[in-house]
Amino acid sequence: MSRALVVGIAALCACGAPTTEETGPTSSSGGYGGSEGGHGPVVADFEPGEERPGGDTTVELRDENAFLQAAANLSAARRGPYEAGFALFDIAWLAEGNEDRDGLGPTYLGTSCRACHFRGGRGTPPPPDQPMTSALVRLSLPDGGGSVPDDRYGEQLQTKAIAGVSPEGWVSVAFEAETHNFDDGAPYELLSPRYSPRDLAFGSFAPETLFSIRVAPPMIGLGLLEAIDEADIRALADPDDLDGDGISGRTNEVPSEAGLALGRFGLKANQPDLRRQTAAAFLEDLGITSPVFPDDNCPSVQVACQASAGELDIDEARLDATVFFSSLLAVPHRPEAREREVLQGKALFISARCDGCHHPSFVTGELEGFPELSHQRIFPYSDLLLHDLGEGLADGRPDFGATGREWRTPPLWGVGLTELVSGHTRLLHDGRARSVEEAILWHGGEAEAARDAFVAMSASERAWLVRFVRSL
Amino acid sequence: MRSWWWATVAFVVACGSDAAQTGSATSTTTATTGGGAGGDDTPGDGGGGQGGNLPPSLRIEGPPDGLATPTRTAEITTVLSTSRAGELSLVKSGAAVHRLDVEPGAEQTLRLRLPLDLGSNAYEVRFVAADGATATDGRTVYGGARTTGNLSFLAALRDGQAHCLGGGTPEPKVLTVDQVRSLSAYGNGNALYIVDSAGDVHRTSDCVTIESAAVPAPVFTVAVGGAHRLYLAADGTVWAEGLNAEGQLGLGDLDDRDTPQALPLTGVIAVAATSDASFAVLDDGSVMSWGANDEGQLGVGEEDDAPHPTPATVPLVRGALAIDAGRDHVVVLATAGKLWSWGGGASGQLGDGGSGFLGSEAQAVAVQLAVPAAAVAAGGNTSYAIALSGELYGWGQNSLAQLGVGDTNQHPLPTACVVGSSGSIGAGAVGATALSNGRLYVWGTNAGGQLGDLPPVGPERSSTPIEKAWP
Repeated sequence: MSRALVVGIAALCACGAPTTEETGPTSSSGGYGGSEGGHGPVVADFEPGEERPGGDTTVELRDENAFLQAAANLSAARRGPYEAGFALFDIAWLAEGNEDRDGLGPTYLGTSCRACHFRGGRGTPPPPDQPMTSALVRLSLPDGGGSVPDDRYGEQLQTKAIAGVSPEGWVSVAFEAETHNFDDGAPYELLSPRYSPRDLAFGSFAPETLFSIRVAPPMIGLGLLEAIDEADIRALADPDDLDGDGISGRTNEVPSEAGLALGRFGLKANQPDLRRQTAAAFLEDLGITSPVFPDDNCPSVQVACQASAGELDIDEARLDATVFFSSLLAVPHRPEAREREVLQGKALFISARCDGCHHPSFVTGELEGFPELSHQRIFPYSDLLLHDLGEGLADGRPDFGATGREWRTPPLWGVGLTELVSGHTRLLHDGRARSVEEAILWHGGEAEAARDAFVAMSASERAWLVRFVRSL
Repeated sequence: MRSWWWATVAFVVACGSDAAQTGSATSTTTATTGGGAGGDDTPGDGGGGQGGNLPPSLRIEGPPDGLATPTRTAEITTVLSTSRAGELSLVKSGAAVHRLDVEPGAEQTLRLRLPLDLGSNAYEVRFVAADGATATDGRTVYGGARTTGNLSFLAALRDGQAHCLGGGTPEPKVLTVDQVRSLSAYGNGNALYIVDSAGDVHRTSDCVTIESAAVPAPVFTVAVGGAHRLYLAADGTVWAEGLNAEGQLGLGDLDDRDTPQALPLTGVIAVAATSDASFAVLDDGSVMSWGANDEGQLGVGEEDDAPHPTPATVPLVRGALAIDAGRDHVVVLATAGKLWSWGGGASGQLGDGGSGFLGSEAQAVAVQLAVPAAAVAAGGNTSYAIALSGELYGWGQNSLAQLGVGDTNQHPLPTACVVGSSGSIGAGAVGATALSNGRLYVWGTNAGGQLGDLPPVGPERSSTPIEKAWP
């Protein structure tokens, strides 16, 4: 589908849609939202099962602890290893002196997993002039078409350190507002981040240094994403946009324990599985070494860090327990999934082609060792592929096969619970968007047509679409 | 059509617009065409079938009338029914201090912000509909703490006089400070801090000898930590003094101060201190913390042994209105009566149901109080909330009957206190004192004669409230 056609349909949809709800329910034509006769808002079909986006793992709880619930179908017999993993997620690590929980650092971002993953939820940019508490800074230097780590600071700026070792520094964030207008004239405002390095211990950053700020992503449903058959993800890829719909979708082929593999996790799909993702977070964020990444993270100029680097901090069993826990955090159900406005929003989501990347549904395959996660009909609203989102969101920092403009489609499930669980409404990789609406408006590149369709919608249509996204 | 809510509207005929300033709750409704007095209004047919042209009705849901809170603002919750759009205003001393545009609707809950002066603050909530119909209600809020407690004493305030119970004798003492407006103490300490009507601060460790504490600005309230103090000035600035090994003064270094130093904070509406950490609520609803973090008491998501001398925003918590702290834990009241807590939790003092070895929380958890709250207090390993309805709840350590809930079991969830409704709660580490309908009640340990005759003549402790006569 060409971009012009998408915009055309969206415009037709916008023209045909009254701004009130006076008309009765209208059934959709095959779930697509193009208005055919101008007889009121199109209501998408309710798809049985979509109210339980994690399949049998789905939990009912929707309070501030909603993202720290075990899969509903986890048996009592398997609660033990889950709780063991939860304890490792929760525990504050020490530098030394307690065999069960030492190994922190030498440099690190937080003393525990939950220090950034508050309540299993989403991180947020820091207040002005304060260090980040649930976000981090990735660093690199351009090198040909790719990038190399900064030889003094490595790949990630470590804001804390154990006694006797210097923290690397920190970065403050300020936002500049810019006002734009919807097609109906209503104004909206987008915030662009501006970063300032502070207290750098090993000298200023080179001017060409590439930064990427990433807030902690939510922890729910990760095991279900791992359980999706690789072939089903690859089938969605269209790297050369052969179908001409303006949306490509590329895989990131990344290192795994068995050569290159499909990347699924991380904001640029730079990790193939939760085991490697978890081990990387242990190392990069806590300074905890494991059998997967046995060497502490100390660039050669950081002598005190190197002198403090020690032996292996956690063994296979404790890494496995943490992975087990991370795999089984459940997705909450969707009590509003059947509501009329939500289904109107769903129709608009589809007609604007948001689903071109935010792929609604999969049936998971067989994930070895996880019967809870296998063969589940799930609704993550992600294709787990890389997409060019345009210059506005680009961090300029390549990551294996991902370019500086590409991001992995983030799952949308649970997004409406962000405020309740995480105490804020900030979205996107660096938390610059203050709402679902702003997050949509930041989309560019392959998502520009969808963004334009949203900008062309009436105020009530925009509200329905946002309501739908928040209902996920 | 809209008469379903009309039927629930109760009319109270106004007999004097000054009634609110006496502290008694008053509610009036005046119809548009009622000629002003409105004394003969009756809920009739709504003006001859005009479909929803009904006089507005308004009531204050909370805080309870006369509630004492050591915060520079209070959130007033009102419930309004109106068939016309209009303006809701909060009026104090004849001036509107907060206005809201309101759309028509039944039983709308609306929240207004009342700036508080030290002492009694009378206010009126007034709705004026587009057609001129009005509805009003009024109450008072007391700015300052009227009760407090520590290891030695329980203290309470009436008519500008502070009374001190305990200290090794069963006879109450009256402090020789005039025009007292607010009392503070560290629950696990021995000193009392007293703020008078001029904003001057006095302190005593025996309720007899009074020293003055020189603070460069008129003070609203004092947060007393283990060995440091935060003075919240009436202008929203904060001054810190005392020991500083954990950075608990928030001045960016670890140097002790023996005179109050200004913190780089403005717009502060409430402060609190644990043994060696400090907290401030800002008027934007955020909470800042600094100092020790070994129990996760800074609420930043992690615990560590390092000092934290620079104030930093506590994640997850928004809309904060009030705060209090015990030895190593914090309780926050947020908008709409929501309660958050974090820090040390071994004794169930976080009120989230947890306790024991893993009971501490380094990030905010929701206190499991089923009703909206209007005020919080914490001392030692205990916590309290006064509900919007006025009922008092306690949770946490209770081995010395400090919760006043009728037993000496630990309570990791909020539990109704026997005293029932309360307008002021002072939480010590070993006992508490509350005001209820103007009466003074105490419970907890009697080791210092807080409850009356010393043991063995008197009881060792009481888990039910004992009324004490005002001297």
